[in-house]
Amino acid sequence: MVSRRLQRAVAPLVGLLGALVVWEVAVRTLQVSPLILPAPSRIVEEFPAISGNILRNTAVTLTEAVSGLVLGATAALIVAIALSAMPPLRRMTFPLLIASQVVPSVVFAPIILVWFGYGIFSKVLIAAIICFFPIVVNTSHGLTAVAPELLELAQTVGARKARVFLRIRLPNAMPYFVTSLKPATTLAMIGAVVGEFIGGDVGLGSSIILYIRFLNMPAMFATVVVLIVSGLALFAVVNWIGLASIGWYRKSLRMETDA
Amino acid sequence: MTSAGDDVFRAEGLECVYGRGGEAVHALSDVSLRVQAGEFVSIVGPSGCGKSTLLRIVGGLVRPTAGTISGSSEAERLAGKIAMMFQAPVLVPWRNVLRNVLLIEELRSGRIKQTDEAETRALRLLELVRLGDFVGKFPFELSGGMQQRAALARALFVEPGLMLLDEPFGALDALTREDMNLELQRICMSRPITVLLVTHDLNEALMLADRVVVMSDRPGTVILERRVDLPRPRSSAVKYDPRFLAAHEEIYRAMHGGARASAAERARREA
Repeated sequence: MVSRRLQRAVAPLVGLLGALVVWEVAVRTLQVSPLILPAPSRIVEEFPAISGNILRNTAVTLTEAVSGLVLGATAALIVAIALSAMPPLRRMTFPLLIASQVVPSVVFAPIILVWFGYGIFSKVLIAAIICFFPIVVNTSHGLTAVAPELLELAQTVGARKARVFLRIRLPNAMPYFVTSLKPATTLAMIGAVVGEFIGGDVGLGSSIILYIRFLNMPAMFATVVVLIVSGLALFAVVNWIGLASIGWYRKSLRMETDA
Repeated sequence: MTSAGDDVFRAEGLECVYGRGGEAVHALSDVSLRVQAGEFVSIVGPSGCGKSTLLRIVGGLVRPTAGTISGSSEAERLAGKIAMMFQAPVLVPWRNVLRNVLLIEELRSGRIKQTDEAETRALRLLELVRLGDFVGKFPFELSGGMQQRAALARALFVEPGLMLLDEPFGALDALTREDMNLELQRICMSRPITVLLVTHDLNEALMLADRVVVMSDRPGTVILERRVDLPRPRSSAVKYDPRFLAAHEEIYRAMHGGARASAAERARREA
């Protein structure tokens, strides 16, 4: 008998394979031009052709996304801490932060490129800005969502604010912070690629734009595949590091799923 | 340190009003209460009668609108020797049981590195509440009763002169609660400790207390104080003792009459 865990791992692969088969068959029977939609087999054939620059481009895009994530997360952590330490400041800015989440952050991308040029730094900055908001909002919530009884307990033994912060608020916010890194990772990838779309000559986003310009759709799709795989890999790594850094949280999650 | 017979606190003419204007809630009205060192006092009353507010005033968490608190409780508070327990165990999920107990010391002293002495003492207290085999477990790996035992060990760790218990066993099932009552009695008998217990469970109040204070519906005020002169240690079967039953009936009637009186008064006010 196949174990449940194995089944759970294999099921999405079967789904993916099914989708690829449908795609392949549909393209062949409907005789879709490769200029519109190349079949999966055609995309696979294209990999040797794009392999010349693909490693370098992937490395550039991942570097931008990771640097952006680190920069955005660090800034978000600092801002969240400042906001929770200064309630008046929090009341003044937090509604604005929430409201700004509605604004598609990619509108800042062209502005950033104008200000900081077409190099890697602009893309890092765009990625950082896009992933900043969900981390601030989540982490702020974690810093304030502490059981009032716990704060009363600290008060009865005369614990000062700084102590309460270090011993209670900060560890309480860790799962919120780590959880927010998941959407932030995806957003950082989007930020890096959008930056490359708009301007620049390296990175997977630039390649995609270039291939579209030459109507080389198989190469374009092959690059998209590489982008998806890189994004998934980055997501998995960030998720793993995040959970590994708070072992108790992973343990409690595991207990929940087992129950 | 207080010795038996001294007042841990004397509350006189306590008033407490939350909010203002039309939405003001009059939680306490002219409450006077005196608790001596070494006493175990239970406070009972209908829910929302301000018993938790009274507890928080004694603990220095809430400032009364009027009235005074005197006695050694303020000094205990300043020394970090008032312990509180709530209906929720409020253990932090990121620390194991032992380190949860030590958290209270870190909050009190600000020291990050704990001395071996503190750790030994924490372990001894965890033995005392029968969690000796679970010191390395995380709170989410324990049952509700065990979590409350850990909270009890944490409360005892500060070597409290005064323990303030706010329905500490209210969320437990009846059997576990009876167990915990016996445990609490055993622990209180083993050390000089003053306890103020807020509960809505009359059996629990009587089983544990030297004295039961009955409060009226909001605004809460003391309507009866009843001594419970039953020998210790008391077993769970004490609730069938005639003296216990007599006290139970007296308190029940006071609460019931009080509730009826205040309902009548409310009706009169609304009319």
